[in-house]
Amino acid sequence: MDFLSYLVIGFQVCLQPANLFLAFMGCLIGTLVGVLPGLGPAAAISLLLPSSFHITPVGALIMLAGIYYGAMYGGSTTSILVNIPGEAASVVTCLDGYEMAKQGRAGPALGIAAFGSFIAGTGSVVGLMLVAPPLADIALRFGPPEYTTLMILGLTVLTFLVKGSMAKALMMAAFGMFLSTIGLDAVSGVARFSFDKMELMDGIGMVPVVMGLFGISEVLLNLEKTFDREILKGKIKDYLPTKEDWRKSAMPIARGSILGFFLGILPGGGAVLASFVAYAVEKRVSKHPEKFGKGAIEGVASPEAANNSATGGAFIPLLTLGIPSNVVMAILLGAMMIHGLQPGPNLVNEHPDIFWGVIISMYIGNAMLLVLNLPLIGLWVQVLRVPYGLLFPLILLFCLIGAYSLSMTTFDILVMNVFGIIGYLMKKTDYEGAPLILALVLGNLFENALRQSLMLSDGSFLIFFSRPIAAIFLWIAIVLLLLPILPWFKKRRPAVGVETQD
Amino acid sequence: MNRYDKVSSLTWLMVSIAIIVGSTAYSFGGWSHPGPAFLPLWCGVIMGALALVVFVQAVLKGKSEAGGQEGESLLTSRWPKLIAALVILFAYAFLLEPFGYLIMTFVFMLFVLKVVEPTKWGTAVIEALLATGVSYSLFELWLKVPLPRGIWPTIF
Repeated sequence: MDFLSYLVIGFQVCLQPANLFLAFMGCLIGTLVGVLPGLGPAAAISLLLPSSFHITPVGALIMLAGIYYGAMYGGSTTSILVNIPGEAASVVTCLDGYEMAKQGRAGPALGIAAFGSFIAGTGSVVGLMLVAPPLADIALRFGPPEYTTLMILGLTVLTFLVKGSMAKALMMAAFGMFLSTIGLDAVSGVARFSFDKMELMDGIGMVPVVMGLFGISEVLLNLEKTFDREILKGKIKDYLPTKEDWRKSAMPIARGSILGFFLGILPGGGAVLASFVAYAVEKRVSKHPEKFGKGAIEGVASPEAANNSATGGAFIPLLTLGIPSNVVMAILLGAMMIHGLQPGPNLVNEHPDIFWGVIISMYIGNAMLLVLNLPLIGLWVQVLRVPYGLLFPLILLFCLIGAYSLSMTTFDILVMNVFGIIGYLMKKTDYEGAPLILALVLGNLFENALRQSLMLSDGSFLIFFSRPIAAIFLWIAIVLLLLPILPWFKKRRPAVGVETQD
Repeated sequence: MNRYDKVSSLTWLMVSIAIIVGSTAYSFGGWSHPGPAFLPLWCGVIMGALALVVFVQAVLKGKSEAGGQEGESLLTSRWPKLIAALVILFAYAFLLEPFGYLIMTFVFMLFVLKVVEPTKWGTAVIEALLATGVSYSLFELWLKVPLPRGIWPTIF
């Protein structure tokens, strides 16, 4: 079948009323968690995962994907109006977005964020459509050694990019990988580290761990803070950016979209990184870098475009290789496996309805989000007025129900609570949760690929260097691992961090 | 640098030793046929080595500078709230099945709204009732998630 007939399949799938409704729900919930600080897309998708068991796999994916890119839209609203990022990818939007709002230009800031997001989101879906199928063809030729080294590369890139110590991040990746080995060993049938507990035989679920690390621990941290939110008063008007605004923003949106897309594809990359890099690039190429941080519309347009574009790019490694590039994709991978789908190069050919249905739903979802975000902005401002004292008990309650309904046992609630404490301590001591989750999700795939590779090579690690694609992945990973040790790099790495935070 | 680097790295070192010791209960296999202990053992070794790196870095940094004082302190003045939240979270896990969803959720919401984040009695009761009812309708009645009934009479 050709490209066009696939597109037709995609439209047929997602124009079904049930799927349209799910896309809408996903976008709505996504915008909501994006607007609300303290609950990111990773926790929200985990929370809603159990309730998606009752719908079709394609419907579930359409909804969960909607939450992800919807959160990118919603996050900008909080950044601009309250100066608190609704989620991590909107941190940089605060810098110029809130400044614009203080100068009475909240309308155009929200407008350009929504339009930039729409343009970039749609563009990245086109990119996804063009890049994913050929990449899947190449991936069909991957064997266990290629998969092993690709996963090593993905984990290395993520640990390289997280802020703070790379040694700590790698340690968390190793810990996550260990957690994945708990339970029955698929090859030998031995129950590992299960302490004869039935619940541990199946292993530690990713969802309670994510809800603990990103949901419960976040609430625990917030309990220690006092929230005084200064919501911008007065009526917000003139969402439509002026001609001058458009002229200033056109190139930043284009650059942000392209950058975001490729940073999204990068294993370990994603929306957060994309928004930071896009902001740094705009500041560098701008003729007036001094205006950044003082309400430059370019500083809103480009990162907002980049974080939305990255969401499209992030689907590429998941749908073509079966390798998630960030935590949200890792949860989606888990969701697909629960629904009996194995993401990877075969998905495009075996389930074209799912592959193209999800992609087309992202087009439609982007259009829905534009409608949800601009005319309904007043509603989202009202949501922001819900006091945290009422909000956090509800977040906790949803976490509890979500964890319980995974497999109807209170054991998952205990796992979630324990990881809530671990996550709280990790945040206080500067250990990142993302490498842990990614390693936990990849763990079983990685272990199988590694053991198969070593069986193929009769125990020789040279197999990872003698096959060209595997060797390329591994060499890049080795270079990334060695870079922080080099003295000249040590001096440069903090500079990158400072650049993005000033 | 975080002010707790020494303590945290030593804690993770102990975790890694536990993993390594635990792995010895299973077969390592050989390089050409890795057994069930292969990956966990390597994870433990790598974690332990990295924990040592962080520890040594922290000790060296501590000597050259005034010591890392970055990062938030572990216990703030609001720690009773934190403990209260943890108590009710664990209580919910242990008591959900014996007492059932409706009772435990109401108790949970009331406790959080009264103890963790003090609210007026009336408001707290109404909010707890609402949250219980709405979440029950949403999950049990609409999404058909079978929530535990516990001691709640079955006629309802």
